[in-house]
Amino acid sequence: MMPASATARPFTTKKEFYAQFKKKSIAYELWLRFLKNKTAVIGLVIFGSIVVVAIIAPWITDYKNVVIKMNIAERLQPPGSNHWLGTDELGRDILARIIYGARVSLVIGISAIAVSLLIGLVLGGAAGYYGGRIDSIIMRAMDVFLSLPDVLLALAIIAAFGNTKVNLTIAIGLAFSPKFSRVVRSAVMGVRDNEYIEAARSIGALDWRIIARHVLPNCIGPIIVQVTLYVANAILTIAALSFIGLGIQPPTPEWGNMLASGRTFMRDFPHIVMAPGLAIFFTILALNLLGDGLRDTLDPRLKH
Amino acid sequence: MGRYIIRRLFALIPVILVLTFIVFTILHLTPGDATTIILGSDYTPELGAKLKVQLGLDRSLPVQYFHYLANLMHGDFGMSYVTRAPVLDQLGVRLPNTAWIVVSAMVLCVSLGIPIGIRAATKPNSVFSQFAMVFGLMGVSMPIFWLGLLLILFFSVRLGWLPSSGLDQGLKSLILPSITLGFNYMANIMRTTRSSMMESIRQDFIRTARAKGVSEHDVIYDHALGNALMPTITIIGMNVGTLLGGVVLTETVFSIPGMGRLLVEAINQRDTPCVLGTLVVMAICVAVSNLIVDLIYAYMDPRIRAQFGAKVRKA
Amino acid sequence: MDAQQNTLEIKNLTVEYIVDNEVVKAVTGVNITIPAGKTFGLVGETGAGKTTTALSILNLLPLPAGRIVSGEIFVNGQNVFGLAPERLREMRGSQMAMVFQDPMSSLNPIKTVGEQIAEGMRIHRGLGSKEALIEATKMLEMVGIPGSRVSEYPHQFSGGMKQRVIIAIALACNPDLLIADEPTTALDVTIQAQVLKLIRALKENSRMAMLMITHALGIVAEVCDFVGIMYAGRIVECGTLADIFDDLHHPYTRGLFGSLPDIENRRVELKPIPGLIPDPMDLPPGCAFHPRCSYARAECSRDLPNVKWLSDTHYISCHLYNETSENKL
Repeated sequence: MMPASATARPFTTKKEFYAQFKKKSIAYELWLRFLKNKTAVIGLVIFGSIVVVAIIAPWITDYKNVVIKMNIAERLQPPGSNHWLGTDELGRDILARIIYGARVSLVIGISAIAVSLLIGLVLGGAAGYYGGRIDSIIMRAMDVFLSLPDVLLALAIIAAFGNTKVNLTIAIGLAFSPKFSRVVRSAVMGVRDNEYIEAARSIGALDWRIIARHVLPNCIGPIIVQVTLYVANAILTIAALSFIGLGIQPPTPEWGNMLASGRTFMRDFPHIVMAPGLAIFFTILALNLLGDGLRDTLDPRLKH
Repeated sequence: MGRYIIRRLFALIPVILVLTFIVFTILHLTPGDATTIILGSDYTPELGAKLKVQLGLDRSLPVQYFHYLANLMHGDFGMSYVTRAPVLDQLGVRLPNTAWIVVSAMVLCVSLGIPIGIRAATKPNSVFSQFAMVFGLMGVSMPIFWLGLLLILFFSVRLGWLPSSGLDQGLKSLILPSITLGFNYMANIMRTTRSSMMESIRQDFIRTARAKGVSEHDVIYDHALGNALMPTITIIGMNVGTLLGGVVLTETVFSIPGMGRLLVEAINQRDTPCVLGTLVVMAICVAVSNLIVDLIYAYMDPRIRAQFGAKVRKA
Repeated sequence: MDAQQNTLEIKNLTVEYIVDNEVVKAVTGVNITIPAGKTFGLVGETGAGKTTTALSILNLLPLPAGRIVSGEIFVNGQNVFGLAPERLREMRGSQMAMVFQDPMSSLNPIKTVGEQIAEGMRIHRGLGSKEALIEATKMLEMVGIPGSRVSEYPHQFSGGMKQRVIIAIALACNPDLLIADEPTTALDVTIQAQVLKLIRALKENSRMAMLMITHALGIVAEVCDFVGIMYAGRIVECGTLADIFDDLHHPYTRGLFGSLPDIENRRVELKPIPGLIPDPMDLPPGCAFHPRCSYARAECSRDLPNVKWLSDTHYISCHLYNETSENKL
């Protein structure tokens, strides 16, 4: 976090003045600025490790024989040398299930946000770029969806179509798309009236080309930040839906349903709800840290 | 102002229309069949047909929707497939429980989140502020259903101080659910208040106030806070929906018979009228609280008040 | 004895900012004295340290970046750096007041202009809310705004009117010292003239001392008795209005005048000063102006010039006058 005082001075130094014009290595400069933000780097490291673990999960543990196979003889064992995080009510190794749970959460979380990003880019982009009638029609429609909490919207969709992984992804993706449309819209509106857009239009560039080549690249910053924060939100939503029994169904390991099924036994075996909860918490925390850090890096004027 | 409120209430109508239409259509695409839910798996075709006529399910979807709307106007939410009782009665029983948790969570969050945020902003380098930031970050990252379980483990199982389920012990049984429900919300309010307060303190008009000789206390609480609260109020309003989403989880964790539980049960039992009714009521709650927030906003900011065409001059 | 007569005395003021762990010298060794009833014009380019000097008088430097390294400032004989915070607060608004540069952002958007003018009166003159509001209405009329608009909000006013409201706030408690930081910069030309007229009228009708910060020499000629020319945190030439306008000695002062269009002789080409004001983080050695100075000599890049008094009122800081007082320009 930058100290509040850094901007509170009545002048621009020459260094800062000229720094605006240096174009040579913007990506590198941004990377350096990002690295200065220690909490953001911590977020990146945590999230990166979770992703790596999720990818190499099949080499760490065996899905069929360890993750979903019941083993009544070893049920509800506390953490120890055999099972680092203990076993659950059906004798399965909690660590192995957490690792495979990461796969489920990450895949659904990221693809759900990809869905809402796609919808958001199309609807928000059109609304922001064309403005006027198109804007007000699209945004009115989005306001209707925004009046229902996203978890409830996802619930309604799941209630209708059932809770397969694909449906969950689509449900969450749809539920978050109104918010994305708004983000994209305001980002596009921010760059729409710049002169380089005008210039592109004056040489006869097509609308879609202007949007793809000139508008979107210039509003990528706020979109990346929102993607990071909403992946966190999506992962949390999957866990929440699974927790109330409407998301991923056992025996497929998912952090939320691990909490739900462990709940009954937590009075005597609290370890059973510790690991899945911590897994969700650290994933969300990492993405929040990363998102806040990216926001500070990409737009230093906006501090939150 | 009165005209504005009426206008806003009218603007709610299309929202509810579109919302019910979407939910209605989605839910009626459901593969499950109402007759099977009500009559069980083996029933005579005549009985099934009779029931369909009785429920109006033999008519086309637009007609069904029109009837539903017409009934809704009269406050008739239809009959539950499962209990065969009016949905409204169920809602009437469940709504107060939910209202209790939501209101107490909100009170808790606003009364803690805003003061902590202000203090963290006015002393940005203090230990308190650092602590508040860590707390805030943890707060927005905490899955509330897990937090609920942890609170139960500690305060109910370990210490035995507070009940772990139900709402039958009055205020005592409200404490854990409202902390659980409000935790994200409080962290959000705190973080927003802090950053908008820091922003506000940097403004030129604060310098003007100091140059006038206004005391530091009044600079913060009179000049800076009024302006800083705007984003906070926005966040409070925007998250009422999220709070209602959280109700589903909180009620699950603490086994509270509220609207959230009702919705989940109805979804599991494919009780379409009940799902629809719950969602409509929740949407109305969200819309009304957004309206209230907008009114508070307008009351506090003369620039927005002017847009409403209301009289700006104070008496 | 002198201290009693002078409303403002700034002695050897040096101010630094700490930015990203680097020290920025904003103001170095500035001396300003203003007797009651007189107006001192502080002139210089953006970034010369004018606003920093002004904020130091009220002890309102942005914290924690700003730091007063040395020097003393006396207002009505009281050292503002030595005062308890509570005493300083009592002086702000009552004995010294400031008109800020940007009228758009200097008013609280959610308070009526009346409340904002009345606030100082309630604090310093002990008026009740009603009385203060009546007085505020009078102030508003004094700056040329109908009193009926006292309960309107800043967004309902134009830029020029906002600036007049800010002037009314500053004058609310009859301060002995008024600091006006570029009071007309943000305004368009006709409004500028109105605000200047107002300031001149104030000057004539009171014993108020005024520090007028500006980069416009026209305004200086109109309202000031004394002028200080500031460059890179130092006053390089200082004297009465006549000293500076009729007998300027410093190459930088000359450069400032050379950048003005001459209305009587339109054929004369403008002579802008070459180059930019130096980075305050990285000031050139010796005289900070030497890289842009056409009279620069060897010692200019080596040694700081000393202050040299040309007359009782006129001093200069330039190597050109090390040996002589004769005008070299």
